[in-house]
Amino acid sequence: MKNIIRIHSGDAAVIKSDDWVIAEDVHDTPDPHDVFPMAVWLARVEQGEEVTPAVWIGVNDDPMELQSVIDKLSFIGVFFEDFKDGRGYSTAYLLRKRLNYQGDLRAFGDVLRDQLSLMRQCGFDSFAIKEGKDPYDAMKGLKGLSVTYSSSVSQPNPLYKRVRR
Amino acid sequence: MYRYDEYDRTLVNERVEEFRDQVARRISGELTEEEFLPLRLQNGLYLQKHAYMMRVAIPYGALSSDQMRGLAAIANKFDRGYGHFTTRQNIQFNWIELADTPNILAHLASIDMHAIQTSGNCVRNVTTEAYAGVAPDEEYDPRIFAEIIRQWATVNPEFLFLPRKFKIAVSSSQEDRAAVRMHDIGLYLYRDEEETLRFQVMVGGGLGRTPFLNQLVKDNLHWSEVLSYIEAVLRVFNRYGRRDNKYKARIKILVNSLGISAFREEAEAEWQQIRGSFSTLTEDELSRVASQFLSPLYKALDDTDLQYGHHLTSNSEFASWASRSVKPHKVKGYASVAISTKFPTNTPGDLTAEQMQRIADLADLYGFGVIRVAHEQNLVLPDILKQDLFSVWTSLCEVGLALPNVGLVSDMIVCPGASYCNLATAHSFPVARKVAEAYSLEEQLDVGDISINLSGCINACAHHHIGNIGILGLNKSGKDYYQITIGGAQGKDSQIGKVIGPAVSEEVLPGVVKNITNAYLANRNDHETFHETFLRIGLEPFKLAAYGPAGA
Ligand code: HEM
Ligand code: SF4
Repeated sequence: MKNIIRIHSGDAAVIKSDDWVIAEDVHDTPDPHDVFPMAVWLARVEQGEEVTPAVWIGVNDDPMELQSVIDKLSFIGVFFEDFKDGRGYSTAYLLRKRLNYQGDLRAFGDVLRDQLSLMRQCGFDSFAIKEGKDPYDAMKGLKGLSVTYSSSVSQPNPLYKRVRR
Repeated sequence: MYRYDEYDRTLVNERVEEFRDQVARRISGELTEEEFLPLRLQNGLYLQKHAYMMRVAIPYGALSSDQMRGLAAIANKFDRGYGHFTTRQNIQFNWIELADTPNILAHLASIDMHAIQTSGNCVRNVTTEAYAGVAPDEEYDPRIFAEIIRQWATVNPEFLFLPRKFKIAVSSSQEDRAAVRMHDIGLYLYRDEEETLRFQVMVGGGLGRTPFLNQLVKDNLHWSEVLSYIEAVLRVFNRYGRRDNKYKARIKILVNSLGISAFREEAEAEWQQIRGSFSTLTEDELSRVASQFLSPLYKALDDTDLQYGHHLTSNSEFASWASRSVKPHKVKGYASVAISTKFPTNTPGDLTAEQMQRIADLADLYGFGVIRVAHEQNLVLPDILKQDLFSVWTSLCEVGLALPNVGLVSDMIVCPGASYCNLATAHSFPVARKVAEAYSLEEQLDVGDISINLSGCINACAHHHIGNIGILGLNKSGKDYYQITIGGAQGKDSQIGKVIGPAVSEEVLPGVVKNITNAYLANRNDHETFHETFLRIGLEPFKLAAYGPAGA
C-alpha cells in the first residue's frame, strides 16, 4: 500500500509504501502480503487452506465474525468507502476492545487529514491516506484536540477519571 | 450555572483554531466543498438561501446575562442585528460570511459558548426544559445530566459520523416540557422508592417525513449507567442504521424496522459488554457537576406579595400579561417569567440585539443574571421576586416584549421557512402572522392554552406533528399550500396529529384554523383543553367544521 502514516511507540512517520497488497479475491500470483477481504479469508480458513495473517473489512462486514480466529491476524485493514460513513470507527473499537486485537490496524480508502485524530482515538495505528493527498500534510491531522472528555480506545479513562477537575 | 474550567476552555479554544485552519484551507481550495461540508456542519455552519447561517448551542437552554450580551454583540457585528431562537435551544444567525466564522467562534469561546455539533450526523445539543432547577414539580435538576451527556458526546471520536443526526432530551418533572417523546433518545429521570435516581430510556423518536414517538427501551436504569447505555444505543445505531437513504437513516427507522423488542435485545447485548467499565459515572463526578447548578441564594419570603397583588388589581394590562407569563417557582415569593418572542410585535423566535441586551440587563437587575431559552422559542427569566414583577413588565413593555400571549394562539412555534431556508417548500413567518392576526386577544384568551406549530417543509423543524394544530407548508404548482393536522400533543401523553383533509391556500388558512378553534369552543366541556376535547369527540367534528365558511 502507498501513502502511509504509521504510528510507532507514539511517533508518527510517513512511509511512502509498504508490502501489504489489498486484494479483491484469491489470484494466480499469491504473495505473503496479500490482504484478502474478510469473507474470502474466512472461507479459506474454514477449508483449512493456508492464509496470510491479513484481512480487510468492508463497510458491510461484521468484525465480530473474526472472534474465533483473531489470533491468526497481525494486519487488519478497515475500508472507508466514504469518509462520511462512520462504521469504521465502531469496527476499530470492536476489534481493539471486544476482540482485544493487538496487531496493525489500518484505515484505508477515503482517509483524510481532518479525521485522523478521531481514527487514532478509536484504535487505528496506521493510515493509508487517500490517493492524491499529501501524507505529510495529513500528518498534521493526527494531533487533534488536547482535551477529550469521553472514554476512547486510546484513552480509556474519561477526563474526570484522569484529572482532578 | 455551569462555568467552564480550564479543560472546557482549552477544548473550545483549540476547536476554534482547528476550524480557523479548515476555513483557510477551504478558501484556498485545499479542501473541497464535499470534504469541508461535515466539518462546517459540526461547527454549526449551514449554507442557506441567501448566506451562511451559524447555529450556536445554548446547552440545556441556560444563558448568563454576559452570554446574552455576547450574542447581541455577534448579532450586531456579524449579522443584521438580530438572531433566531430555535425549538432546540439554539440560536441561529442568518447573514454570516464564511471568512468571519472563526472569529465568531472565538468570540463565543470567550463567553464560554460554542457551536460544536449543532449540526451534522452526530449527537446534537442536549436539551431540557426552560424551568429546570426552579419548577415546583421537578424531581432532580435535568441540566446536571444534560451537561454530563453533553461532555460525553462532545467530539466523542466514535460517534461523529453516524447515519444521521441524533438528538437527546432529558426531563425530570411531573410535566414533560422538553418534548422528550420526539427525540432519538428521550430520558425521564426519576427517583425510585429508595430515592435513588433512575432513568427511563426511550428510543426512536423523530418527526420529519415519517413521524414517530420514541418507545420505552430501558426502565430502572441506575443513573451511573446512563452513559454506557447511551453508548450501547449509539454503537448499535452506528453499525446498523441505514446509510443508503437519508430519509430512512434516523434511528427511528432502525427501531421500527427491527421492532422495539429486537432493538432492545441488540442494545442490551452491547450494553452488557460495556457496563461497569470506563463509562460508569462516579458519585464524585455527579456531585462535581451538580455543584455547578446550585440554586442562587433566595430570600425567605411569604408566598404572597402585597405590591404584586396591588398591581394586579389596579392595572389590567399588567394583570393580563401576568396571567400568561408568570409561572410558578419552587421558592416562596419568587416566580419565573416567560417572555414571548411572538406576534404581533415580533417574528417567532427572533430577537433584536437591543432586545437581547435589555433582557440581559433585566436578568442582572432582578434575576441573578440568568436567562433560559424555552423549547417554544420564548425566553424565560427563571428567578424573579414577585415584588419585582411589575418593574420587569414595565421594562419589557419598552422593547415590545411584554406580549400577553404565552401559550395562546399567536404564541406559535414557527421555523424560518422560505424566508431563509433552502429546503423550504413554503413560507412560514408571513402566513403565521396572518393566522395570528385573525384573532383578537379576547378571542385568544377564550381559546386558552393551545399549541400551533407551523413548519415550512416536511422536515418538521417546528414540530407540526405534535402541535394541537399542526400546519405544514407545501408547494402545489408553484403556490404555497398548507396541510393541517390536529390532535397532536407533546409532553408525557404525546401524540402525533392526524391530517384533516386537503391542503389549503394561504388566503383561506387563517379562516380554517379559526373554524377549528371555533369547533373546539362549541364542543368543549368546562375547563377542557383543546386536546382533551379532541380526545373525547375525535377528528370528525373538527374536519366538518374546518372547511365550512370561513369564520363561521
Ligand atoms: C434554517 C435552517 C434549517 C435547516 C436547513 C434545517 C434542516 C432540518 C432537516 C433537514 C431536518 C430533518 C432531519 C431528519 O428528519 O432527518 C430538521 C429537523 C429538525 N429541525 Fe431543522 N433546520 C433548520 C432550522 C431549524 C430551526 C430554525 C429549528 C427550530 C425552530 C429547527 C429545529 C428542528 C427540529 C426540532 C428538528 C427535528 C425534527 C425531528 O426530530 O425529526 N431547525 N431540520
Ligand atoms: S421545516 Fe423545512 S423549511 Fe422549516 S427550517 Fe426546517 S428544513 Fe427549513
